[in-house]
Amino acid sequence: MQDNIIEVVGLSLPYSFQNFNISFERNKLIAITGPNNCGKTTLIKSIIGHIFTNNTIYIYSQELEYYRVTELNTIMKYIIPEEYLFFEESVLQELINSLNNLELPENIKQKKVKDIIKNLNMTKIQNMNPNELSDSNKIKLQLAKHLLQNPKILLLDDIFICMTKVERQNIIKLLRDIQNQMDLTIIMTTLNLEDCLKSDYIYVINDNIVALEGTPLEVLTKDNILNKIGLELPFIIDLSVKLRDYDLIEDVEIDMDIERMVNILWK
Amino acid sequence: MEIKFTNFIVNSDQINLTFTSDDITAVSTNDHDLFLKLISFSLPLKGEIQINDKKITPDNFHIYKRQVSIVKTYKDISFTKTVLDYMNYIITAKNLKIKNPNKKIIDSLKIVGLDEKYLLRELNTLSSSEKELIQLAISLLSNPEVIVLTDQLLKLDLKNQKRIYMLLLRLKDQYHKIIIILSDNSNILYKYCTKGVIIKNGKVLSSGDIKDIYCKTETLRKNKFDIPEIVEFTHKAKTQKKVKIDYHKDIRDIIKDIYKHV
Repeated sequence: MQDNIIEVVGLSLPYSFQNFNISFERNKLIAITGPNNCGKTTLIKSIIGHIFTNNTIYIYSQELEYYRVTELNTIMKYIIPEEYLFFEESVLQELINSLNNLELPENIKQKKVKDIIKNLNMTKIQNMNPNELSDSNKIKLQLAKHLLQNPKILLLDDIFICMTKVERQNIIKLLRDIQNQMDLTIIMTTLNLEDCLKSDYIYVINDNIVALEGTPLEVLTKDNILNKIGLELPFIIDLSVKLRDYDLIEDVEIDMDIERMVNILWK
Repeated sequence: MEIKFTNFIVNSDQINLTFTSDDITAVSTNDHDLFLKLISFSLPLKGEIQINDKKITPDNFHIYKRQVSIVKTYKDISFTKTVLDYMNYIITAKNLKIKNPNKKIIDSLKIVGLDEKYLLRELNTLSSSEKELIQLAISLLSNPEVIVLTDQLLKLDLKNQKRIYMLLLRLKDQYHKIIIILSDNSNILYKYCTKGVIIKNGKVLSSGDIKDIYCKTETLRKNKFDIPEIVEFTHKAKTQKKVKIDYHKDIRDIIKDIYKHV
């Protein structure tokens, strides 16, 4: 399909997939979720070429093996927690140097770096040594470096796990905004269904197949299937689904919040 | 089993805290390292610490230090290849005195739900949850009296969370271990713990029954601590709409209360 930026066709690997198929539409924010050991990280590692997949993955309809490593590195960036290295003595320098390959004028470089520091709320850490940052700030820095390179595909493997709720919400909102502004496909894996709420499309992987797929509303209202798989609904969605089942509210809304729910129930 | 800190000085404030094997205790703090030093007896002995009524002194604290096991998040060690290599490496590095290490390794893996086949699995083929379960198995090798989980539960799905919770209950009830969960995730802490402590900059803001400490939403908000969503919903209904519903842990109980009062 033309709109698919990545297609996985008949992927079989030891310890995980057997004839597994999935495809990702271009220019979307896509969440992949599923219980432990369903193969979320393995799938990401397969797409980025860290696992030999025997011609079963296609990027822009071309087999993954067709691309040169440098070419693939321009198109696609990824973050797998702890699988990154920082070389400079400050966050600021790390970001500036990450732009060296783009041959940009110095003032443009400075502006891009300044903007990304502001957008990712990294002002307080910009003079710190990258290797001494907390896990969540290391991820933010790696994300900033990747976003500066304007990739076409960004793969994020469970990057929110070490972040606080507020940090997670801020990063997801930022990713949503960036994705809306540019031709970028973001594929993120997570165990936490709350991280999926702002995505365009969700895939739930279980027992070697795509067990559920659809928009957040379509997927998250299937509470029985999700609970059976071992996934926990976000509190407000879980409450909404149950209240709807008891005819106490009419519909489930993905952007519902606690304040509004209280006002709906007790006008 | 009981550990009691009495007038213990942390960052110039006095701490009075008791951890027992009667409860799974939640700890939420802005300084995880400081708490880990406190509970592993690594802070200067300023004040009193008692373990089952025995006083800790500079002469005996190293004995008790060994009885505390902190389950840390898995970090890649490139020179160990298999799970067996890794667990043997930890035994050597931590100088754990174990009579029959191989048997103990297999038993520990079984307790956390991993079978013997895992021994020869290469670490790079394990999923992130499997790595966390290995960390938990490692923490059991030394038969500790105090087990401190950090963010392991966050990385587990509901089924694995429940399995580990059952294991923690067993360790607490049958073997009288002190179980502490240190996390910033209030939903997890509220769900699985019966007692709790909120510590900011070394000062205890509140401690006691988990429902009581999380009901103090204003204090938590003011000090930038997370509030469990189920508590926040109940609190808003009670204070803004004067609805007589109770604080519950299970969403099904909330639904029953709403049904009665809507």
